[in-house]
Formats: sequence, structure tokens, C-alpha cells
Amino acid sequence: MNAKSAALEVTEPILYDELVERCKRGDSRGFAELYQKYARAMYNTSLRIVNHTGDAEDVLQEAFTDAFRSLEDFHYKSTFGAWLKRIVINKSINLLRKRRMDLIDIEKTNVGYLPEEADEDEDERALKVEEIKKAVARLPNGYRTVLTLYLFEGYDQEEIAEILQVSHATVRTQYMRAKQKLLQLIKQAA
Amino acid sequence: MSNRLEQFVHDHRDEFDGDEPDGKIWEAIRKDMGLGEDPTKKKPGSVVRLYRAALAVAAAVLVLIGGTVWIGNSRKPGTQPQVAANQPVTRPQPARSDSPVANPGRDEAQTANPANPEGGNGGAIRPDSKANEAAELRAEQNEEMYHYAKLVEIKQQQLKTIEKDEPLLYKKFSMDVDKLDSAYHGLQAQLTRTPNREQILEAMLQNLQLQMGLLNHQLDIIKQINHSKKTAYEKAYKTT
Repeated sequence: MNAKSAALEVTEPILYDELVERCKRGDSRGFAELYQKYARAMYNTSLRIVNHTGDAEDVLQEAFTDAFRSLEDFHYKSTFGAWLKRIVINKSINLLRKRRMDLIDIEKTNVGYLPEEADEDEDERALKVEEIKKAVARLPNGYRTVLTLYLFEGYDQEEIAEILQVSHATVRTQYMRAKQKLLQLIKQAA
Repeated sequence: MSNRLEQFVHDHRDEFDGDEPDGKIWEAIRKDMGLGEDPTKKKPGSVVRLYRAALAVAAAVLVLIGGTVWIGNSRKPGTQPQVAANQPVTRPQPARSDSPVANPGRDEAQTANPANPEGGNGGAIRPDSKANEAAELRAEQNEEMYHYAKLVEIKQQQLKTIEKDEPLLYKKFSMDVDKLDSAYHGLQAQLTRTPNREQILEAMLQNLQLQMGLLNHQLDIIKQINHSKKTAYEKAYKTT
């Protein structure tokens, strides 16, 4: 029996996150380490969506507390970071909704219309991180949400459609417009 | 230029995460979660994983201590209760520590021995000496008992590591061990009253062996549970 379980132990591949496992066992230092590891990225993710430092801090606190409390429901279907990010994004979007901010800015315009490549800015000026950040902050909520989820968080358009509960076509159009608007804002600021 | 922006963001992604959250947020989370200020708890997981190695080491140390104590005991029996008192063991200790009270006659005989020089090895040299024979036998039994008590203690500590993950299982397991443990205490109480010490000591020893066997079984069950959990993770990981 003992020899058998020892042999099993050796052949088992380690597929799980040791830090997360420590937290599941209630190791409080593990929680502190998890927070340290992910807090900054999660804060910036939320900040880009809610566009307000106080709100982003609230989201961060709630998201970590919720994640820590429901670690039992985390079964490695994704990385812990991806799981946590999804919690942060959902909370950020809910906060925008609570503030009755429109998540879709395209409603009043022609959904079918898509900007052509030729319409886009051909300006070859160097882009700058700070300029892009400022321009993103000036985008309307709907544009900003779709744009950050696609551009910064790396979700594909279908995933964004699911998160925002809109159609794939809407996300696509919304993103094209958001990007166009962003480039325009960058150009204006220069 | 259609992908210029995407490419730029991709290449400079980390620079976009330059904002720092306020330090008070972690404090708030910590309070919310009821986490301690300075968590000094050791990692229970490593205890479970290393317990075989730890047991081997513990057993080796016990044999060494046992041997030393036994030799020291046969030469200088007066030190015996001290050694027992020095052991950082919270479990009910076998007869060693309480025997001086329980049976002062024997201990007097024992402590009288080093007074004469040959008495030091008297137990081995003169088996006809009744007092020495009894002392030797008891020392042997005490060693054995101490050994098992220590093992039981180590295993109980290992079992405690599942308390957080499997509170119900832990409760059931510790209830079973507690039954045996209270029987052990009963025997220990009898030991001071009965003239038939050898029988009681034998029963106490058996009880400790039973406790150890039970704890071994319980730890094996936990291992199986952990293993099936890991397999479940593995499945989830591979299918998604």
C-alpha cells in the first residue's frame, strides 16, 4: 500500500499552481504573495475600464476578496491569473453598468458601416505609451471597454461579445470605431 | 497602418501597467479575509509530502535517543525522569514519568544501584537481581511505549494538516483516535492502582500500536483522496 502510493506520487505530473494550493489550504502568507503577484496588473486592467482610481481600487479589493473566498471553485480550467482577470473585468463592467454608463456607443449610428482601411490614419509618427494612455482615458465608456478588452487584455472578439452580451458584429464595429477615435485623439493631442 | 497600434501595444504591454494600487487595499483585503498580521504558520503541505522522510528521521532519532537513554538509565537511573521531562511531547507520556510515583519501591531499588560501582551494569551482569531485572524490563517497555507515543504524536500532527481542507473527515478521524486515546488514559489511571503492572503496561503498548495503525490507515485514505483530486485537476486541465 505504502509502496504503491509512493510510486504514484513520483509519476504524478505537477499540473497545479503551488501558490494557489497553499492558499487553498489556508496559508495566509500565500494570499499575500498572490496579491503581490497580481495586484498591479489587475488594478491597471480595472482602471482602463472604469477610468477612475477610486473605483478601480474598489474593484481590486472586491475581486481579490471574492477570488480568495471562492478558491474552491477554481479548478485550473485556465491559469489563476486569467481566472482572476475575468473576475476583475466582470466587476469593472458591472460598476460601469451600475453607473448607468452606456457600454455600447454605436447604437445611434449605422451598425453596418465599417471604416475602410483607407480611412485610417496613415500618420507614421512614433506612438508613445503615455499618449495612448491619455487618449484611451478620453474615449467614451463603450469604446473604451471594447478597445481595452481587445487591445490590452487580449480577448478575442467572440469572448468580448460574450462578456458584454452583444453580438460578434457589434464588437467588431465597436472596436473599429474605437480605434479610429483613439488615433484621432492621439493626433489631436500632438 | 492598420496593425501599427496593436503591434505597438503588444510590444510595450508591460509599460501600460504602470499605475500602482494603494497599499491600503491589501490591508482592507487582509481584514476582510481575517488574515493574521504576520503569518508565521508553516506550510502544512510540505509536511504531508515529506512525512515519510520525516518519519524515517524521527524513527532514527528515537532509536538513538532510546539507546542513549537506555544506556544512561542502566548506568545512572536517576537521570531518567529528567530525560522524560525534557521531551517536548504533549501526548500522555508512558509510564516512565509517572512510574517514580506509582512504584517508589522499585525506583528506590533502581537509584540505589549506582551507589555501588558494579551496580551500574548490574542489570546485564546479574540477571538474578530481581530489582535490576524489573528495572531493565520496565526501561525496555518504556522505550517502546515512548517510541510509539512519539510516532502517534507525529502522525496526529500530519492528520491535523487536513483539518482545513476536509474538516468533516478530520473530525471523524480524530473521533476514532480519541476513543483509543481515552482508553489509553483509562489504562494509565489503572496503572497507579493495580498490582498487575506488567499486564496494564502491555495493554497500554497495544493501545498505542492500535492508534498508530489507525492513524496510518487514515493517512493512507487522505493520500488516496489527494491523489484522486489531483487526477481530477489533471483531467480538467487536459480537456480544456
